[in-house]
Amino acid sequence: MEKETAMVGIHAAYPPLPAEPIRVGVVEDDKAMSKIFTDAIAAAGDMRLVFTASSREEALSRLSENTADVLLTDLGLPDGSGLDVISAASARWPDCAILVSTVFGDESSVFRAIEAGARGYLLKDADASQLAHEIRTAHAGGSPISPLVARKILGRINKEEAAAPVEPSDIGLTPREQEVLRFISRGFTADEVAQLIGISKHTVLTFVRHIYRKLEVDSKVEAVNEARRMGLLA
Amino acid sequence: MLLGLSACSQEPPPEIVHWQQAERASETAAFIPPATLPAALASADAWKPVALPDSRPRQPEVEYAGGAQPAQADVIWWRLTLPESARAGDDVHLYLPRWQTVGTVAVYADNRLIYRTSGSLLWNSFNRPLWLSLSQGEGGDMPHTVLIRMASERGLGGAISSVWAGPAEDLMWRYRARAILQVDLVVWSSVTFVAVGIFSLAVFWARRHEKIYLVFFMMAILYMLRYLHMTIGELPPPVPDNWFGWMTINALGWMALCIFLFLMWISRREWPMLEKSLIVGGILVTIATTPIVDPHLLTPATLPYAYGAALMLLAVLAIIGIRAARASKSRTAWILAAIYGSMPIIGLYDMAFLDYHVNIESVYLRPYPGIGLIVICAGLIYHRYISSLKAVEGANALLAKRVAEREAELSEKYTQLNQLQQHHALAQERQRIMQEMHDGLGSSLISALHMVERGTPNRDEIAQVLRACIDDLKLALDSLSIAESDLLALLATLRFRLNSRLQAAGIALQWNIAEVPPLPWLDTQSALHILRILQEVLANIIKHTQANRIEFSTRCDTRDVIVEVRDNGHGTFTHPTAETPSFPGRGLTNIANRATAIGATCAWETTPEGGLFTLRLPLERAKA
Repeated sequence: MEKETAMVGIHAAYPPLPAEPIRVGVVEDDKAMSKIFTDAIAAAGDMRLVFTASSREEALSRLSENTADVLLTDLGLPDGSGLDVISAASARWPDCAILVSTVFGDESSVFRAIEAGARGYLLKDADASQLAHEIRTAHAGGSPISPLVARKILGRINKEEAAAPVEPSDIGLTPREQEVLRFISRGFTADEVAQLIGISKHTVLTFVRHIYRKLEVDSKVEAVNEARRMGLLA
Repeated sequence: MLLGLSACSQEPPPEIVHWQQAERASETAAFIPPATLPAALASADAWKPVALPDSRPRQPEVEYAGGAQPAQADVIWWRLTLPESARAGDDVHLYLPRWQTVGTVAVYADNRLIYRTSGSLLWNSFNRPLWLSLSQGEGGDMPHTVLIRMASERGLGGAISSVWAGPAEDLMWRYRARAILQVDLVVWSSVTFVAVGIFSLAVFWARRHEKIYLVFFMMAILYMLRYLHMTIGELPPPVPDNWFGWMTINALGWMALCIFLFLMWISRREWPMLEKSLIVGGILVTIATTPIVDPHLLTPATLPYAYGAALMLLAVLAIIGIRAARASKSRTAWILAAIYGSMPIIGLYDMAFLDYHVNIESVYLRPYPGIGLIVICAGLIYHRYISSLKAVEGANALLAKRVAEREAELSEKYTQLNQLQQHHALAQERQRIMQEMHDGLGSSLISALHMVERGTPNRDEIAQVLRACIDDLKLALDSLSIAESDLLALLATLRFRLNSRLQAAGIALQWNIAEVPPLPWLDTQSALHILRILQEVLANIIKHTQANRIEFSTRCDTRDVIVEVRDNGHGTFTHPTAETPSFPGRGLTNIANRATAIGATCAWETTPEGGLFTLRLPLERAKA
């Protein structure tokens, strides 16, 4: 019997997976943690470990050799930031579901990861069955979101609505997407949100994915603008 | 017409005649000039040659007849012969620069009366030059002789200047220049002075303590009244002669007084007693000299004595004024004193003029110092206006400077305060983290350590303790992220963090969160207190009540935002002050302490449905 998810955040309860095992890559410098991940993957049965890497360098080189459906990556790597790995993986495999593994799931690191292209996050204190569940959900297109992350995205929109600090960049969220974010930031679960605004839970989840996607695109546009401002691009 | 034009052009242009010689005849006759020359003048013996200007002096021994127009007058005729060279054309004009007498003047062309004065005998147009056409009209001839008849009050004398005749275009400038100098200039000065005076009066009206503006106004009006007699035209003055004389003489006296007051003010001298007695004396004299008191006080005969008295007063005041000005060292006072000092001298000259001791072709000088007065008054007003503008600008600049200084001070203070606050906040934060480490994480870790060291076989128990540690950490971290008075975000993160534990305990959570107003005082420290309170409450419900449903709700009233946590367990969850605290440990004490720390109140109730915990958070926290 599968344990319920550790998150109040939103997860897809997608139909059973196809026969193809989910290919999972793990980037984690802590040996013990890495073992917990690989054990959980091995125990799950419907997924296969394609590579593990313990540094940024190693992860980047692995990316060119293997293809993964789901990538778990830490942010604090000994030789650099996991954000680079996320960006590279996102560019290489657009369909890959990248999950950032984090101890606290604090909104600042999750937010940056999402901007780099992550589809969600994974709490390191989850047990083996929760881990497998998260991987499956991510692979099926679900995106976990926490109230604080929702709040942070909303805060960004509001800041843009008010006096923008440098250059207003419209993330382009629809009113419905904003409404979903608002409910989530108030602690409501995906089921509750779906009920409150009269849409299906699946639609709520799609909204979240779209929101993440828009954030990522926006952050890249921002980066280009920033580079142009600094004269790095003609 | 054409013929006439060509005839004109063939004739030599008429010459200008300037008569400095004439023939004179005298008689005693009526003031009213006869229509034609009296027969007595037909005799050549009646005429004697004289030089022009010509005057007949006063004869003090002849007693003034007084009263209305007397029947008999001293009459003088001057006969001027117009040479042939001056008779050409038809625009030959006669120009008499000045005549003067108490009486009338008439002009005859050959045998025919062509002009007579029509004003009063005394206040006549003596100061206006005379300009007459000698032409007889279309087709008429030029006269061969011009006769000037002057009828004077007996014994009061009379005079005429030399006489000019000639074409208008050649002669007119002389007439015009004299008219401007003697009459128009005085009119213009009066009007200007009165305009300045009215402005001064308006200033005085608004600023009653500045009496000098009233003095300016008085001077302007007096100047106008005083010199009205020099600008009188053909018509008699609109008031009786004696009233007119009373006005003009008194105006002179008051003007002397006003200029004196002005000079005192400008020299910063204060002799209030002198000034007051002068004013009182002036009023008395003015009243005493009205024609009501004595209609015959001011007559042409007594006029020179009245002038003399006024001039004496002027001279005395001028001497006092000049001394005051010399002491004051003010340049304006000096100029004013010079003008003032010139007035009695000019007055003496004018009196000599009036008495035929000066060439009659000269001019009366007394109006001209008044122009200097106008300039000084206007200059002073201008100076005061400019300096007050400068003062205002200076005051503004000073104000701006002070404001800037204050701003700088304030901003410095603000920076200091800010730094202090930051230090304070840092210290608080440090203390808070220390306490968290000590009370929560530290003690939990130590108990986990003890369990491991004791070799407790219960792994679940250790895992639970460690999970609690991690939850504590997460909530502590979340509390740092919410520093924007957002209670609902706090509750949301609490649910997010603790939901798994509730689910593990088989408890369903009902989330009835409604929007509440922001809590301005909610900082990271208060946020963590609230999180910990609710965490503790949930932990207690899980541990002690066997509830399987918990409902979170928010609402607010006028004073508080209220968070309610209801459970459906049995009421073992009671207030810690109850006699048998069913609730072990420090939990409830902690809750109460934390609530007190943030100015909130909390209450536990047992309801038929189960337990109810209420946390009331004030909308505005009272200042500590």
